[in-house]
Amino acid sequence: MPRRRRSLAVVELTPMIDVVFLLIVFFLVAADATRMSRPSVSLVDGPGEAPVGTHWDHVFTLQANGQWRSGREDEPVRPTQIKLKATDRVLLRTDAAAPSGLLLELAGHLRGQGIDHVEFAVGAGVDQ
Amino acid sequence: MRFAAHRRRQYRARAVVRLAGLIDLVFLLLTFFLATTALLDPEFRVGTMLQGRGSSQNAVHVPPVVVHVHAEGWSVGPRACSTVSQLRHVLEGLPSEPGVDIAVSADAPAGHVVVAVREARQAGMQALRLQTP
Repeated sequence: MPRRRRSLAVVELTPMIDVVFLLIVFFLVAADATRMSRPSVSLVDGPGEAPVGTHWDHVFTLQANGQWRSGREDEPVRPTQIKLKATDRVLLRTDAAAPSGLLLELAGHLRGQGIDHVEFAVGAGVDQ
Repeated sequence: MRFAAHRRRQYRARAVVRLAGLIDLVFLLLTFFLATTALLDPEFRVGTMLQGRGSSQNAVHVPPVVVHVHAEGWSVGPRACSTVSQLRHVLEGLPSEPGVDIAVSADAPAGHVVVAVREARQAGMQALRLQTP
């Protein structure tokens, strides 16, 4: 009876590593990194009630120059152009030095659409 | 005995995993993310309820506490507060059940509005209404 030659089990990891590296580079280049950022503003410090988290349907940022920006698109928005659902959860990030009239304008616009769930973002520090 | 002799002749494969490429990749990725990551400051949230002036007229119970927000600070009734600690002291001395209305002057900065909301919540006032135009 001929002797069977057993094949050697060899795992070649080099091609897999090459492919993984190529895929990672591709997605890093193709990803829109700006979606992960948020406009920088000088928030009022805390204490807050809970961390902001990521469960918001919409995040709007009021900059010190009076410009509203959408948190996800980071594009200038006008309060009158915002159309939301009444069940949406909205987070407002406002610079401490921004004019309050713009804040109230958006708040009134949201209220007019039946949106009750609106919260403010505050910083991690403690305001004295 | 024959079986034992067969085992001696058998060539045993040794599994060799070359880690050099993997380590190179890990360090490249680590360097990339360290160089590109912008750490974000943690933020917290403060709840509020929006209520327009028109709807407040239909409210069954009118809250007796009204916090006026203006450029110089805040005022609760006749008591003017120029600092956050003063506002905190005044609100903590008020009953929390009736809630609070926050009325904002046109010249007030938005930060003062957020501070009024935050301090009212910290004082235990759940029924908090931000009067909007």
